Amino acid sequence: MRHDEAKQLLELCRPGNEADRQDPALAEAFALLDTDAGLRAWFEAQQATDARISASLNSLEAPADLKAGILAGMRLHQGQDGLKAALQPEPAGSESWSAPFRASRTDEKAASACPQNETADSTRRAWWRQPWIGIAAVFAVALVILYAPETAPGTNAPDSIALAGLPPVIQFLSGEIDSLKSRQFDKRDENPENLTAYLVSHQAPSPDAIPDCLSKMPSIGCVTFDYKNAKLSMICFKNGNVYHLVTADKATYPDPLPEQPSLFECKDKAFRLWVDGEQVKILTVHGTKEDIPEFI
Amino acid sequence: MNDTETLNFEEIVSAYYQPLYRFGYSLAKNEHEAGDLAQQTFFIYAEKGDSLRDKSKVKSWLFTTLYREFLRRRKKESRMDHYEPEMLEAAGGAVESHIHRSLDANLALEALAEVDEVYRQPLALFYMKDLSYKEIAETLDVPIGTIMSRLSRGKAQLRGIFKRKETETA
Repeated sequence: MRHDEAKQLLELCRPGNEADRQDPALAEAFALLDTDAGLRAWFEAQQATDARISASLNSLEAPADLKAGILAGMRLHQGQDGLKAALQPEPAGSESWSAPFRASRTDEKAASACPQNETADSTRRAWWRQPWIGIAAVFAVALVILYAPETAPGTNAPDSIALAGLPPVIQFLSGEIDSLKSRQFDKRDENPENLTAYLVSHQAPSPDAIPDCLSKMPSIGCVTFDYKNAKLSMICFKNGNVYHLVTADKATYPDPLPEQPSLFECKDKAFRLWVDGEQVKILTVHGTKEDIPEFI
Repeated sequence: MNDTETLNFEEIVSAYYQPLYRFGYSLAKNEHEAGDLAQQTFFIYAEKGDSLRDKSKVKSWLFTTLYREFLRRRKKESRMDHYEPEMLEAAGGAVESHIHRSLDANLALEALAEVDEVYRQPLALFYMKDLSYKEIAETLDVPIGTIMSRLSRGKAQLRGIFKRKETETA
C-alpha cells in the first residue's frame, strides 16, 4: 500500500474510536504505522487535531428545553392517536391504520430504508393532517383573537408593549426576515436614497422620511413583500446590528392600526409599529424591545 | 404507543437529541432551525419508527431523516444559491455569536461554517463521532469513495481554518 493511500484511509479513523481501529478496511493502513515512522508521526498529529476539533464541536449544547419539547410533542401525538382511534372506528375486516407499517415489517430492508421510501406511509396521515386539527386550530386562533391584550387607546405610555396577541403582520415579517437567507435583495445599495428611489420607480412603498436613528446608517439593500394583497417594502440598515425598516401605504394597509406606536417581540426579534402620516412603518431588529432605538 | 414504547422513545430522545441538534446546527447554522430539525426528526420517528425492526439502525436512521428533512426544507425555500453575509447575519444564518456557548464550540462552529458546504456535511458527522464513515455515506447517500475524498479535503480545509482562528483569538 502506498503512503498516500494509507493516509487517505487513516483519515477515516476517528480519534479514540476502537471500532475504526478494528475496521478491516483500515487494517493494512494501520499495519504500516508500525514500519513507517513518518506516517506514524503524521497520524498522531492528525489524531490530536481531530480530537481537539471533535471535542469543541461536541461541546455545543442543545437548548435546555429542546428535549422536553420533543417529549411533550410526543405525548400530544399519543393523545391524538387515541382520539383518532375513538373518532374513526374501523369496519370489521378492514386494514388498520398501522397496516402499512406492519406490512413493511416483513421486509427488513424496506423498513431500514424507511427514510428513503416515503410511499410506505402514503396511506397514513400524519397527526397534524387530521381534519379535526383544522377545526381545533380555528378555535385556538379565535380564542387568541378574542382574549389577546390590545393596545389601550389614549394610554399615557407612549408605547404599548404586547407580548401576546401579536398582530399578524409582525408574525409575517418575522418569518420573512428568517427566510431572507434564501432570497436576494431586490436592490443592494449603501445609500438609502438610491433604495428609496428604486422603490418609487417600482411602485413600491418608499419611506417619506427615514427615522433619525437610521438616517446616518449605511443601508444594505431593499426587498418587497406581498402581505394580504398589500405591498410592503423593507430597507435594511447596518450599524453593528442590522435594522429593518418596513413601509406600507396606510390607505391599502389591511390590518387595524394602533393609535399609539406599539412595541412587540416575536421569536428573537423586536418590532416597533407606528403610523407616520400616510404611511405605516415598522422597525425591527434582532433582540428585545430594549434594542429598538428611541426616536421622535 | 403504549407505556413501554413511550419509555423506549424517551430513551431514544435522550440518547440522540443532542447529536441530532448538533448535526442540524452544522447544516442550518441556526439554533432555531437546528431545534426544529431535531424535533421534526423525532416526530417522523414517532410516525414511522415502529417499522424499524433492526433497532441498531436507529441512529443512522435518525441522522438520515434529519438530513433529508433539511434538504426538503431547502428545496422548499429554494434560491439558496446566493446569499449575502449581511443578510445571513440579519436572518440568523451565520453562527449566532450572541448565543452563549463555550469559546471552543464557537471557534469550531465558525471554522466549520467556513468550509465548503459539500465537505461540511460529512465533516460534521465525522467529528460528532456518532457515525462511521460507512454510515455517513448512507446518511448523505453518496458512495463511500466520495465520502473518503470529501473528508480528506474537508479536514484539510477545516484544520487550516481552525488553526488560523485559534491564532487570531489567542
